[in-house]
Amino acid sequence: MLNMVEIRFFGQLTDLTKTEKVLIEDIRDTDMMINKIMEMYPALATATFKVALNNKLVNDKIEIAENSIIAFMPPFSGG
Amino acid sequence: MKLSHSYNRYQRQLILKGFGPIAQDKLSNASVLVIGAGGLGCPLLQYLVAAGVGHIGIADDDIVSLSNLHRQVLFTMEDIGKSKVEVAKKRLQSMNDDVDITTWNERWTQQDCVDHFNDYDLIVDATDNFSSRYLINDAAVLMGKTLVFGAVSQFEGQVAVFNYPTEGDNRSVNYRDYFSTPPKNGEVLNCSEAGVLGVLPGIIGTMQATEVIKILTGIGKPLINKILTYNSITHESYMLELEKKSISDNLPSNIENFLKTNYAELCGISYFGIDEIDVDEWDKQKGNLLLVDIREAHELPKLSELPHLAIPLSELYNRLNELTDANVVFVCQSGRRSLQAVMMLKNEIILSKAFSLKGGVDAMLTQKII
Repeated sequence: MLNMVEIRFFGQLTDLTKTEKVLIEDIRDTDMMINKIMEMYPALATATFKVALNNKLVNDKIEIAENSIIAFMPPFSGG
Repeated sequence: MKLSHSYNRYQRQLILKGFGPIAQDKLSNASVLVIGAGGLGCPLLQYLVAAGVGHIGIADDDIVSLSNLHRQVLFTMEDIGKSKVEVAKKRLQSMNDDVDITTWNERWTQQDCVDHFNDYDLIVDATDNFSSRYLINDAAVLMGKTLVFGAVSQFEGQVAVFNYPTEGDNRSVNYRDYFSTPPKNGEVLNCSEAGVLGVLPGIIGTMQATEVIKILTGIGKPLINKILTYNSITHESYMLELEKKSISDNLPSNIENFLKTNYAELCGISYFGIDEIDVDEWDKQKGNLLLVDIREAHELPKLSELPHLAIPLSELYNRLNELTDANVVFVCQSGRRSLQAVMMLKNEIILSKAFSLKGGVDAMLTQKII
């Protein structure tokens, strides 16, 4: 069975991706996932963001378990 | 509590389980500095004053304008053109004259942090730009102050409590543990450019006030070592857990270095001018320049009177072939996204030259070009 992962985009990243959520499959680790997302949404290359796996910031390559939720989070500055 | 009218005023919170006169006294003896009296500052100041926080400082250098009124609920049409802090103080004082309010009608500086942070128990960041946010964060960490952070973007907002005392002499995470450096200038848009739903800063500012009251009274658990993102359209919230670094990256090592740091430059503000062209210059050279409107399709006013190409920023990458060999001037509403477009295309060799139109469509309107 393929590993399905839900990716959520926050803030103004959605202006670049045109979607708040996307499901991708057969993704084993965070490096692979980030590469795949950058391929799907090349405009993200210009953006600053952090990636979180199941509510924790991703600093290094880690394995992604099935049904994980990934967040792409930009900094917010408005007030 | 000294006076019976105080009991009446605060009766609804005094009767709360775990609150009572002890918590009320903690509030009335507390001092809170709120930097920014805009979308976030207005609601949070109202609730802090209403709740009876004894001493409140407010800093903001801005004046009230008509476009503030859809979210900055302390101000009325009669206040347009007046100092925000002066109007806010008058309005807040009429709500509760038990509260002592000090105002600074100026842009808060590094020296102001050093001079005044120690007079306050808590600092609240209600500003609207990265330069101020990093400056306030760094000062709070270096001076050992807890900081209540709030920020909004379109339909979403964030709240967190930074640098809160934990075990021993340790402190919880701060903004540098999340994003150690600011984004490039023009990359993340402010409310005037990206828009904001009026009630959103109301919600986020009120959440910040909630954190302040919780911290001061010791009730509940403050949002430490995490950042809450709330989406007003879906009512979904997302809690991101943050890890404390032993030394926060890029934090100035001491107050002396903090005072030497150029926060405007750090946040890329010095980038302005490099690839920009102003409206007058563009008007002279427009015969040789292809004007490209990178705003999204719904944005107004349209540039229908001017020859131009409309390519929303989100589609720019996929439509680069339309710009082959052209000298391009990107235009957006205020000139921020167009800078982003120039940066985005810096490495694209298909262009001869790309500029950003300084001040954007707003500047064209001011100069009656459109």
